Amino acid sequence: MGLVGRLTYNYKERYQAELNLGYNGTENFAEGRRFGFFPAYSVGWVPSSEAFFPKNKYITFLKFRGSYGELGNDQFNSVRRYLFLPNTYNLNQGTYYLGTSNGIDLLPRYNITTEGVLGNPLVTWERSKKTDIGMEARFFSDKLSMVLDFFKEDRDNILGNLGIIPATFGVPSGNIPPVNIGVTQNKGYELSLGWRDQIGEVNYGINGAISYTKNKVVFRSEAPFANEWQNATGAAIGQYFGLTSDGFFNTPEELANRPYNTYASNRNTLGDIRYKDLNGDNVIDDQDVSRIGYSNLPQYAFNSRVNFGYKGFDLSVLFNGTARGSFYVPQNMVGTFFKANGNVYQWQVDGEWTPERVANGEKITYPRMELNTTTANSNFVKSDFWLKSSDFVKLKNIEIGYSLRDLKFMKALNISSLRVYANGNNLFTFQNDLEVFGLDPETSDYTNSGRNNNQGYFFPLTRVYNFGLNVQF
Amino acid sequence: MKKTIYLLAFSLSLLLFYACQKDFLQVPDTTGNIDLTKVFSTRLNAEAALFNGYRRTLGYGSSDENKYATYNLVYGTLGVVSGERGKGRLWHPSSDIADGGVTANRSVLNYGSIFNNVRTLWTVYENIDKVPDMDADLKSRVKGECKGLIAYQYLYGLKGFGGIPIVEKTFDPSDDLTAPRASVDETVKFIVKLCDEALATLPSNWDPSQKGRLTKSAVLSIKAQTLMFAARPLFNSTSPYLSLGANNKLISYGSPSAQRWQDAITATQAALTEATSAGYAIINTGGTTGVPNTKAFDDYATATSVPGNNEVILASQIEETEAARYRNESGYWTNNPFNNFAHGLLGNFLPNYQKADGTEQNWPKVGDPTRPASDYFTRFAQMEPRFRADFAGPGVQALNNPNDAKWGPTSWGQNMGNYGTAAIAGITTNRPIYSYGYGCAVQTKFYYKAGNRIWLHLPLFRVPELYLNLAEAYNETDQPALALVNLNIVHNRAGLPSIIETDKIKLKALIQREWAVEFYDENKRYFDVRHWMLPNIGNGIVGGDISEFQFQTSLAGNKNLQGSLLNYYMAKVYTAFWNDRMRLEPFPQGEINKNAVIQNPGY
Repeated sequence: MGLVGRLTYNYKERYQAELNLGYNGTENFAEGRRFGFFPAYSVGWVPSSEAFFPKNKYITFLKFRGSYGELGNDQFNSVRRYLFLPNTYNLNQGTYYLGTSNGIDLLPRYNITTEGVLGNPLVTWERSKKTDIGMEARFFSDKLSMVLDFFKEDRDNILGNLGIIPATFGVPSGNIPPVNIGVTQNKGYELSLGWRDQIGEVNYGINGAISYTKNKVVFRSEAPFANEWQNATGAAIGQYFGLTSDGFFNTPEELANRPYNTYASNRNTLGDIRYKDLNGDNVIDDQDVSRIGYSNLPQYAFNSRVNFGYKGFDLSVLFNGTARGSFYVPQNMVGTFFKANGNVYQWQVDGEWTPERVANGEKITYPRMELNTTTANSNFVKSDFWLKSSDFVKLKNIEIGYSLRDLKFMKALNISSLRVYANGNNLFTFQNDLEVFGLDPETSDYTNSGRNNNQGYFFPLTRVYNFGLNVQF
Repeated sequence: MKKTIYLLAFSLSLLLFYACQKDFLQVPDTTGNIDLTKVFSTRLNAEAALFNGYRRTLGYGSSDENKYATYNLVYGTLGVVSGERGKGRLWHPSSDIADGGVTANRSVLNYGSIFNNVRTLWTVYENIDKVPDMDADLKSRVKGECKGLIAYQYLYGLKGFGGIPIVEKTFDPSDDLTAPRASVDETVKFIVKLCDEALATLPSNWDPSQKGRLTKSAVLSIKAQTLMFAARPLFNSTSPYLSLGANNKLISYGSPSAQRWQDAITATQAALTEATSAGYAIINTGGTTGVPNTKAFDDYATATSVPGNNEVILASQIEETEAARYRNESGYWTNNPFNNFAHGLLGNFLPNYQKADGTEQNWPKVGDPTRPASDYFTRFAQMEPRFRADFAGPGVQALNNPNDAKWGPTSWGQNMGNYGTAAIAGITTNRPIYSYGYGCAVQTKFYYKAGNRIWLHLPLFRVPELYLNLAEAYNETDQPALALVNLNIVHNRAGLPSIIETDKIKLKALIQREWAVEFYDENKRYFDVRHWMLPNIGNGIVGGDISEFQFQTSLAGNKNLQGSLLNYYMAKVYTAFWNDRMRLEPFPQGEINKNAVIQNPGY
């Protein structure tokens, strides 16, 4: 249920203002906390349209704008509804059997009732506040254009569970009452520059854009770990956590002087990955798990488009890429023989740790080979060794076309224009650390979102070629 | 323009008017979803809440494919981490535990479920008086049931974790939720108090239509077992198994006392007296005092298998296929049996069984020469009745379902042993290990004359437990004659001649062996071997070299048939992890991070 109002003001293309009002209600919250008011404002000023602005060919358009808006969210877990309701009980959750058995027939069944989710009458809207300040400008008779935006999003009252309730409460964590507790922040900028011009019969354009986003969990209700670096609070959203690798055990001395490894009952051998003992207690355990790499959501994203036109021909090429992102390669993709059900990959053999290769000073990218790899094995514990950069530069799209106009047969068939074209998507990746795993760097990783990709099943990105004919009547 | 404004205003007011209706955004009638008041508004619903407590509490420690999350092993019974049965397939958590032990993120018992069940039961206890259509007598019985079940749940917590937080009511989210670990002493006293209070209101027997609910005998048995664990050396010691510094009281009494054994004797005798007068008894139809039972096979098989037999004081009566998944291994199990197997009897446990005449069986040991398969069949047939009731094997029909092909090698439906295909005559070293998991024999326990019955009533307390409590406690208090009387009640019933050993140490070992054999796979050994402080627990009992039989077969179609089996030998199949810290379970790392409890030592 929602009410929306909008007011727009525009004075001679110089002053612009817009007011959006949202008033939303939801069944998820109790009366009195059910409705939320979410305003949004934006203002714009175009100095280049002002009388005092000198008409010139250097700066042809200039606009400053700013906006502020609030948005609400009433969803929690996407499954639980009516979050305010008192503690619920679910009927018919199974049976217990009572009576005197004859050893053959089932005894009479007695239905059982279980406690369901607990409610919190105080929950209300999760709120995100977005601020954006930007400018648009065009220079040199509109040949060069520029758009620059700085944005910031503060999200608070995030619906979440209290992660600090002890087990003695007796309620499974999924049934604990939700509260408005989390805070996150997201800020960054976007810049895009474009140039378009014509030389003789050739027209062309070059566009480039870059965006930078940095986000952070400002507060999450969690039980504090012994070391600050282990907490999600303060880290990026979707931050990876794991052990830090430090090469391999290459010599018996290194092996003998290692800290106790709790992950594999201290059964390490030469050629195993060596982990750093971050807290210095001479034990490799969960206390040494820290933030590793970046999140799966890259901080930088950029793209560039180039296009040409000559007579009926047109060509456009799009490159894109990201930087400062990570991807966790699941255990079954890096383990040998797929748990005794498959083969060894070439890259594993090529990078395998062997004493000979170590002695030759070759680059080692894979620990010693084993027949059966499980997470009980020290080499496949979650660590930065298997966390790869998802940075990439890619030729995303090329399109070439030829348009025909005003030909006789077209008139006869009453065709106004006809264009033949060919394009390709996802064509070539220049830089991809995930190539050996057969993964496209744009594949999203589900490990941190609770979805289990441990089996290494990913839906691949496809390469698409189109050949087409576009006819307009 | 004006018209438009009017129109807008009109539609807005319409909308607002609609929004003011009372049922707008109200909770719909969601079926099957009610609140506390409704639960305790009828006897039917209130008992449904109680039976939830029964199902989960009495099912605690048994697997049902994680359906109720009471058990972290997911696959297999407690026997697979107790040195009774094989560690299972590679992906079974028990396999990881055999490889690397339990950790704060990989434990056997589910800590959270303890308190989930306790909350369920306190909720019933606190609200049962509100039920209008239940008489006062039944209400007081229900309260006794709640306390008795909470005591049972705490007994599991005590023997698994040591002292755990004491929760004496249902918490509201606004309450102070901090509850630190209680000491071993406080936890034992809490359980005893609950049992004593429950005893006052519970009946000796329920109406036959309600058989399965807690009785006086059941809570007295809970109390007796609690005091046995209090008296056993893990807790009953000057210093704990590993030091927890100033918090040693959480895992140890701090000073040994013979009085604890005396308390266990008193409590067990009370339980035995009550159980006897309520009609429970050890089943012995063919023997008298000191004389081996001639009908031992049928009596023991009946006692462990037949639902509702009068040797069972309390059972987990979940008559569902899933609850029996790792115990029924017959050909009747057709629903995805793959995970059920690979949990065979270990060579390490096998020597606990004697021959039927009470002498030791000469099974091949690791490194012994290969023997012909006929040796296996002969020795199998010589074994004591409890072994024959509990196991079948390659080429050996289950004796407890003698004429049923689904309980025999001809149509078992799965491998019954670790098979190779070629015989290697005369080679005694470097012999291959074909596979592991099928063990030395296949389990048939709990299914005497069961035919196609897949479900079972898993016994939680059988009368022999009380006799063995007495045997162990009398021996510890230097009364070997009394110990032998009680030990032989169980031993003779099993068709074996009386034990006459009076040396305390040797008798203790024999009593422990009796516990092992009598209660194979009844969820006892996991705790018993830890609490007895056996010095070699990591050297062949739970940890260390693990062995199983390997069978060489001809290239016949059905490898289970006698005719297909050529030779067999014992092989070391894997090494199981043991560390002394594993005598008590680790608390989940999350609880440690919350500062809710103090972790047990070593984790």
